[in-house]
Parts: sequence; C-alpha cells; structure tokens
Amino acid sequence: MKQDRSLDAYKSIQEEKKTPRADRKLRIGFIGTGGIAHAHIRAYLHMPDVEIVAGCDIVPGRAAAFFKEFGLEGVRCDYKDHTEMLADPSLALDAVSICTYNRQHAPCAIAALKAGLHVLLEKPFTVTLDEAIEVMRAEKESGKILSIGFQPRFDENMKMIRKIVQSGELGKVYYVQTGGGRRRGIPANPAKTSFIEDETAGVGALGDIGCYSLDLVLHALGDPKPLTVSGYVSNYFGKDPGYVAYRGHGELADKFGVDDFGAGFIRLEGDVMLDFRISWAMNMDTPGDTIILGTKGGLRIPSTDCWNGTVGGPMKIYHEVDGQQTETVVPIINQPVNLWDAKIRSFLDAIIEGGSSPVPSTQIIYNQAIIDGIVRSATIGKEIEIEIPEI
Amino acid sequence: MNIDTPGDTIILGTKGGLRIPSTDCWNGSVGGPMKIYHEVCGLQTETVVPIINDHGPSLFDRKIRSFLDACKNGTPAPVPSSQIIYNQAILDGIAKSAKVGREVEIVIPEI
Repeated sequence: MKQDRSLDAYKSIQEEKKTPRADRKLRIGFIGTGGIAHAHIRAYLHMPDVEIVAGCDIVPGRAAAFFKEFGLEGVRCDYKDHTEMLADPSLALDAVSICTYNRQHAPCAIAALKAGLHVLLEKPFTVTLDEAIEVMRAEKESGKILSIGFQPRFDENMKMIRKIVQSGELGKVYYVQTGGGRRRGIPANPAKTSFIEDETAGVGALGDIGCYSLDLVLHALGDPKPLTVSGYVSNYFGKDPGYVAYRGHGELADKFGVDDFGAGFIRLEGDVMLDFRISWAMNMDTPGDTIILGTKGGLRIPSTDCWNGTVGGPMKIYHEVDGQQTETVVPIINQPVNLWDAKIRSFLDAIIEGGSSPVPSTQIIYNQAIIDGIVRSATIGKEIEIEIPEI
Repeated sequence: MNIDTPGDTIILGTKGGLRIPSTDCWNGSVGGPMKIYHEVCGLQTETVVPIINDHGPSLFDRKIRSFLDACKNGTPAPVPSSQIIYNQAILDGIAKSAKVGREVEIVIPEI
C-alpha cells in the first residue's frame, strides 16, 4: 500500500522526556508533615533518585506518625522544629519540601535557603508581600532553587490557556474575570484550625484557593506586573457560630481570624484590567467562569471551585470568522500526567541540571502582591499602589 | 466583545444569594427566572423566583403615565434625580478613573 508521507506529520508523537538521573540519590527533608505533605511524599516515593532522609513538625509525634504511615520508620524525625533539623550536619540534605501553615512559610524557607538547601515551598508563597521579598532576598543570596507549589502549571489544559493567549489568537487582551470558590467550604473542624486562625494562616480564602486562579490568569498573560489594587474582604460565614459546617462547634467562629471572601479590581501592566473574587463560603454556586477578553477573541474557561488542578470543562473561543460570530470548542486534553509527580519531578530536575526554578518567585511575587494588596486596600477602604523593590 | 455574556448579575448576602440571568443590556426585564441560593434546615438549596407575566400596559406606556400623573397630581418624580445622580457618579467616575489609571473618589456636593 502506498504510504502518504504527509500524514506522518499528524501522527501523535509521544514526547520522550529523558528524565535525568542524579549520580546519587537526592536527600530530601520535610518541614511540616500535615495534610499536604502526604501529596508531596507520595510523589517523592514515585521517584527512583530520591531518599527521604528527615522530617520535622512542631506538633510532637506528628512527623514520626507521618513517616510510619508510609513505611519509612528509619527517617530521622526526632527534631522539635526546623531549626534543630537544619542544624544537624549528619543529614546532608539537598532539599526540603515546606508544608507548614502559611505563617511559617517565610521563616522556614529563609532558614532552609540560608542552610544551603533547595526549597519546594507550598502555596501560598507567604502571608505578606514583605515576607515574600525577604524570602526572595534569601533565595538570591543562597543561589539555591526555590520553587513554589502550583501543580496546575503542569496540567495540559491549563498550559493550553497560556498557549491560546500567547499565540495571539485572542488579539490584545484587555479584561480578565476570574476566581471561584465554594458554597460551604471553610476548611476547619475542631481538630484542624490552622487554616482559619490569624496566628497560623494569616490569610484565608485569598491565600488558600484565590492564589490558584490568580496564577492561572497571570501566567497565561505572561506574568505582568500588577500596578494597583482595589480590594474587599469579609468573614461573615467564618464568624458565624451557626455556620452549618461547624456542626455545632461555635467556638470555631471565635477562632476564625482571616477572610472567607475576597474580591479585587486590579490594574495590570500592559493595560489589562483584572476582576477577581474568591470564597470559602457564599450563597451562590459559582461567581462565574473565567473569561479572558481580547480584541480578536474571547476565551471562556468553565469554572471549578478552586482551580487547583484542571479546568471545569471544555473551553470556548468566541471569535469572528468571515463576518460571523462563532465559537470554537477547545477539546479537553486527557493526559496520563500526575500533576504532583510532575511538580516534584520538575523540582528534582532543576536541582540535578542546575537549571532555573520551575515555578519561580519572580513570577509568584506578583500573585502575592495582589493578595497582599487586596487585604491592605480592604483595610483602608481605598485603592493601593503595588510597590515591589529591586531584589 | 468576543464573548456571549460576561456573566449573570449576582447579589451576595449573608443569608442568601440572588442570581439574575443575564440580558445584553437590561433595558427591560430579566433574562430568565431568578434563583435565590440559601440554606434551609442546614441544606444548601435554591428557590426559583417565577417570572411574573403581567399583561398590563407596556413599560414605555407606564413610564410616560407615571410622569404625567406626577405632573398632574404634584407628586414626586417617579425616577428622581436624587437617586440617579449616584448612577451618573459611577459612570463619570469610571471615565475619570480610566483616564488617570487610578481610583477616584466620588464627591457629590449639597444641592
């Protein structure tokens, strides 16, 4: 049978990513062994070139129980805090995953970078913009790699959003609406209050889930600098002792000290307006799809509650073809990629290759600046200008 | 714009949220039956607000009639400037703010 060579171009080519192997196993430590650490460790355990060497948690016994859960009884975890663990030279760690509550993100990241370790830091970056700047200074001085959470960056559908915007398919983008949130989704119960207390969390829905949709649109737009923010926050649901999901534990309302709803109107460099809102709880199913408006096309991305994985459904490009208004559906890309494996692998590869951070602070600082800006603006009831010093 | 609609109108409150199906310019009626999202006996549910079909005079006839009645009876303006001034202030504010690239404060003097 005659072969049509031109069809070869349409054969799907399996991307053979050569995963570089270190000449030795990378020695990994954990700072914080609570909820999200489980996702980290499962991914690390899929990697053949990793040895989990140590871990610490300020809750006594938690680190030991965590490693026991994964059959890693030999891991060193008899440290009262990260300072003690980082001071132990016998560990010879290469890197740490930081999975603590928000207010410990900056101190632990700075300490780890100063100790000469590469750092994989969970989101949100920090609580305040000032903290983020301090971490970036420590990062610069250390010369080590700092990568920040955001596993959706590795999702093919989320990557497609950036491809569409960057390709020029939408023309000049001038207005973006994003966010999302849950109807009754405050992450708290009597045994877990670190997400809702000001002492541990510092920021609520904005930092917990707001950062994800902010990253989606900021990265799609090419990481433009935010210029001004007019923000609003509220906590009507968190402060209500009768909030249904507290299941009668009204004391959780007393402990609630962060935002359960945040909204902002943000001017971005390049003459783009960003309209953002996020909730842990609200009397609504969804505040709307993410929409990106451009001069040549508009993209509708079906909403999900927190954007921590993939899109909520097939996207649509609204555009004009031969004078007719029509929509082009962007099919969902079904991929076998495990986002957590990809996140961990990208961090390890950057360490092995001496490459740049897969999710760099130079991008995430803008995300943090917006969250910080919303809180500060809400406090004074006026727009604020975002200032990020030279680092 | 290159989209069908930027979204429904939503009004969020501490006890309920109202979704008003979008229309393109809101110059008449709503885009469909509204929904109140609220909690009843600990469950999240929605209450549909049925469309009210009224077979009376057209909206324009009512607008003119209300104006004529106010003139005849010496009653206050049906759609008074003391309310619409806030609407105008927002539109004016958007234009001014867009021009300077910063938020503007709305100042309405005593009249």
